[in-house]
Amino acid sequence: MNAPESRGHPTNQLDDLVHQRGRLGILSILADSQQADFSYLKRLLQLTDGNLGRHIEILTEQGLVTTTKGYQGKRPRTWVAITEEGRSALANEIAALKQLIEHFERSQHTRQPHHDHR
Amino acid sequence: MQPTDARTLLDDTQRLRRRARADRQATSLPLLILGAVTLLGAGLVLPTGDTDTADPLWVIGAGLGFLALAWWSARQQTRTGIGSGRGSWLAVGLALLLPTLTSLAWRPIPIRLSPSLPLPAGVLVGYLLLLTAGLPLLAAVGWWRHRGAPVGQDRDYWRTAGAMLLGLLVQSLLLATLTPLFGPLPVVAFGVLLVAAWQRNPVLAAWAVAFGTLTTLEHFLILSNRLMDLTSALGLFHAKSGYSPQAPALAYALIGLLLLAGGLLARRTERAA
Repeated sequence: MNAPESRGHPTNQLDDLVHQRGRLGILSILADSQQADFSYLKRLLQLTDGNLGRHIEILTEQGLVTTTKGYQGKRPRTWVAITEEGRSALANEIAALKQLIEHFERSQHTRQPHHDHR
Repeated sequence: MQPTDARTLLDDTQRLRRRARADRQATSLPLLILGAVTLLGAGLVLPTGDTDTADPLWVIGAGLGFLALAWWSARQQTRTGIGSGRGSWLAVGLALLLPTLTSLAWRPIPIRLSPSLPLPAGVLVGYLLLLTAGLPLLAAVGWWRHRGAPVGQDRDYWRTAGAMLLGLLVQSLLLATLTPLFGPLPVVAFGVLLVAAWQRNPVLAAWAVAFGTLTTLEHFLILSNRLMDLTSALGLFHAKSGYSPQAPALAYALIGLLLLAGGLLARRTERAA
């Protein structure tokens, strides 16, 4: 993961692990809920079982989310929750994306020719 | 990466967060319940102007409301697949009800531990009962709920029961010591603030702070007095003694209505997402 102090071009601060659209979506949903189950994430992100499972596995390996397998009656359910590391990784990624947009807007502004209205 | 991609990603992230917040519906129902309980209490205060008459209703009503929220949260989580479960509302509800009920049960024997601590000994007896009977009970409930699960999954009943019980005791003790100083409603607001912090719900936290501030001010009759000043200045009402016994009821009714309006607004936002 990129440390926040490693400045330079804003793209250098994007974290490949979190930056992927599906994984960023998982972390975003979990940041605003204590936990969500596999089916909910699948429905909202419109991913296949295999895709979602792989993304969750990657995030779990990096300690950004945790999973709990439970039962609702006899029906198995997998609950996914975000960790503190996951929250800070998401916050860093969002800050980097905002910085990238700002950087682009600034460079666009300086590139625009100045019209002299004399 | 193109800036347009970055913007699309950011928009997607915000859309998903809005949707997750809306699916949780974690703000509207607590505000509606709190508003209704406050308003009902204001109705009790109206005939006499004595807020003590509404205190039991506010504590027991809010406690039962929190238990209802616990039940609803668990149901909502099962139905939608997202949410914070019943734990936090259950703990705060029990923490509010437990000292009240044990105090009421021991009221005929008004033993206090020390003159400086406004906590009846009956409350501590309730805690001891909870410690000896509550822990095995919570563990048994945990075992019963997960009896079909394979070994190793969700089977740490004693640890979960212990953590819940410890949280319950700390909150309960805190609530029991704060009530005599600030009245019941700021304490209820404090409970809501704890839940909001646990659920990371900044909107509910802001409402809890507003509710706590307003009800603390009114506990010392600051809002009632300003309300009297206002009605006098507008020429609507002139109390002969400079004070109307109905003013506290009106102040609490306004607070209750404010919460109900906030709850309806939150419900509309949740449905629109």
